[in-house]
Amino acid sequence: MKSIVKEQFLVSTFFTFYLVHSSQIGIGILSFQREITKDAQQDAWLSVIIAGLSIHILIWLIYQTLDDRHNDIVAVHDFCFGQLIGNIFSILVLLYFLLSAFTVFRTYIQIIQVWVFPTIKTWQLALVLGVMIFYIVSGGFRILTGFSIWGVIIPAFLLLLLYFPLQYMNPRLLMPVFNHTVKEILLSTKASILLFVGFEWIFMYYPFIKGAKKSQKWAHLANVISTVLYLIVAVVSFMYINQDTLQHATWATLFMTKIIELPFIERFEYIFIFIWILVIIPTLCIPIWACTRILKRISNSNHLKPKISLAFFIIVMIVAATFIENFVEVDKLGKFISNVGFYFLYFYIPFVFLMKLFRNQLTKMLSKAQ
Amino acid sequence: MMNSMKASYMKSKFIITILVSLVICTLLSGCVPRSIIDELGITHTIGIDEENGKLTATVLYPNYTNSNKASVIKTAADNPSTLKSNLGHKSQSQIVLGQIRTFVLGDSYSKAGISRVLETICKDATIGNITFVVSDTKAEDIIKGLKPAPPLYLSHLLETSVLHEGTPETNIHTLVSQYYGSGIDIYLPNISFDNEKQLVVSGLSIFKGEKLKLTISNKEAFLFKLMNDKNKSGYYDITLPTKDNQKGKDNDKEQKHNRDKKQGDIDGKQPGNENNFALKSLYGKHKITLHKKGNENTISMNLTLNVELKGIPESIQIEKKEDYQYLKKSMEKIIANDIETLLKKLQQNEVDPFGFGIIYRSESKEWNEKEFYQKIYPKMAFSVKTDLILRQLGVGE
Repeated sequence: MKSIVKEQFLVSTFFTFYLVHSSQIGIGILSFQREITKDAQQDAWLSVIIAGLSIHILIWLIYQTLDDRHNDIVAVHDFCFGQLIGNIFSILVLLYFLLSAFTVFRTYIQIIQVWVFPTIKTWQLALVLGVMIFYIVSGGFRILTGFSIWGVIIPAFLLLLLYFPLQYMNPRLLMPVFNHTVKEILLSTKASILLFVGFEWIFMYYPFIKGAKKSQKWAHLANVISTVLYLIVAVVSFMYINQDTLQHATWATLFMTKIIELPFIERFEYIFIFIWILVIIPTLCIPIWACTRILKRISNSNHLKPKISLAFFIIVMIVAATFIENFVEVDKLGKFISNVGFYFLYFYIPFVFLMKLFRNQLTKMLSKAQ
Repeated sequence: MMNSMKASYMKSKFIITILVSLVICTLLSGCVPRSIIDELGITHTIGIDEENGKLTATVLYPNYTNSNKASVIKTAADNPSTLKSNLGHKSQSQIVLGQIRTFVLGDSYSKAGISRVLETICKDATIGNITFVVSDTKAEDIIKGLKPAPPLYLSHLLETSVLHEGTPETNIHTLVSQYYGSGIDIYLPNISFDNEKQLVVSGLSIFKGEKLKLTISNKEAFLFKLMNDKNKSGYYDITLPTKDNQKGKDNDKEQKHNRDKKQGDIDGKQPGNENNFALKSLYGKHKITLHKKGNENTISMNLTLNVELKGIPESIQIEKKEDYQYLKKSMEKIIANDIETLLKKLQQNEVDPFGFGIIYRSESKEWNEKEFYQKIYPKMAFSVKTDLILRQLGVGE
């Protein structure tokens, strides 16, 4: 059951770059330093590189799994496991996508509550964000692609902002190099994998890309740029904040922007937090869009309008957001999704790839036997 | 017909969208928590003290509504958070900390340990980039003394002092990373009132852990800045040793000198020491390296400084190569010696504001902060080399 998309809804091949890059850069960049330095400390930049490289393999696997006949995860599931079990798998993937969108959703609300409006209630912000998500996602995939361009431009401006902390940097804080064991570096690598989560949504928007097979190089390029961006931010923050302090700084990137004082803006971090919403929009909206798409594909009928399922998902998120009351639970949610994401990426994607390979061979053998 | 109907439908849809969004805008703007700026107590300076086992805070906030006079309020509490709410109880307007620039830490409080206030401040997202200073007396006295001054007086005083007058730069970032980081100790500028009741930046306070341990003078603080900051502008006071060989060789000069001296005697003694002058540091570079040889650790410091001389002693004729070399060499020696004395002083007091620990850590596999400060740091040797480049002599002559 191939996914058929009309020509007018397709996006150009090179937009894959914007889509993948903006899905990878999101809320994680504000706070990743503490998590990744827990084990490898000043060597954690190495872990970022290792994680980035391993993602290339996964992107390659995704593009190997998808082809013209089975051009999204639902079709692949259907092909490998049959319709019933395949649909169960698809719903599990849907839940994972919804959960990752939800994590971003709740964490951003948390950041606004902690940094800017301590008295604002969760449901108020959730409602406003929910309306925004509904508006954007109901515009369709092309609108999402347009938004993802912001997710590329704004993080690039972050590099300019790094000029300010660079004035206080101490390169000695990066030394001694490589004084950690392989195990510590790998543990940090596991922590940094969450940064790159988001590229797996290719599984759903693959049919929406014109000449999808050719878009692989753009996906790889996007991943390279994401790795470089994370690497630069990580190295600058390691030189700016020493390791002991980093363990006390929950939002290290926001902490770094505190040093920025412009003559006309004294507290730059506030501006930064609100601009960042443009960056997290793709990481919020693409998975939700993918959820509605999965539902549409497995229901395989015209009765279930995507707008209705979209509204349903958003209401679920808003309600769920209000149930998560304190920062401990938000932390737990983040840890949980990072574990789920890890297993999804490193076990599920290779698993699907192998199943597809196996099924392909089986079909070939069967056809030969006949 | 169909087309025109469709067009009018589209148009009305467009107008409805605009109207709805306008209504939403007006409704949503009511959601924003309102703070009227005139009704807030925006403080710029806070003083923290310790009194009878309690924390006290003294706050100065400009009163924009009634008069232009600033008000001072003071409260005591057992923890920093209660302190803030207690301040609120005492003022007619809500005290907000978003615009705070300077924290003054009283001397007794600094000696007792500053960790509680510091940790509370780190967690407060409303606080931006602030500077901390340590006062010679109680912080309360400083705040009260600031009452007639303009609201941002203290922060401007510190700013100029850091920019031009040779006080090492500190801000919340340096403080927090020195506090949590191992291998470096906290240093903060020191302020006090002089005999004329004027506020002066008077050197540097150096902490061991969270406790104030040592205070160094402005002169030493400038040497510290030379070896620590990028910005090296400031004046350094130098007294040349009297030139023995000059006296015998240059009789005329000596006589003239004597004549001048006599003249001076008649008019009344000239104030100041003739051999004393100031060099103005323009810019330069410093480099600190660690040499390890078995158990011996030597810190070598190299300083290249471009200076401008103002008012060199009359006995020095700068055009003469010999005199020029003499001036240069003796100045280099004086500065190097002074830096070494400062380093020894820091070492004896077991404080490490330079962050030799960070340097040691970056060059060794193992790092144990306690061991470093108990065993290695007290035995460290120092060698200081300075290189002065006399750029300018000023205008005139």
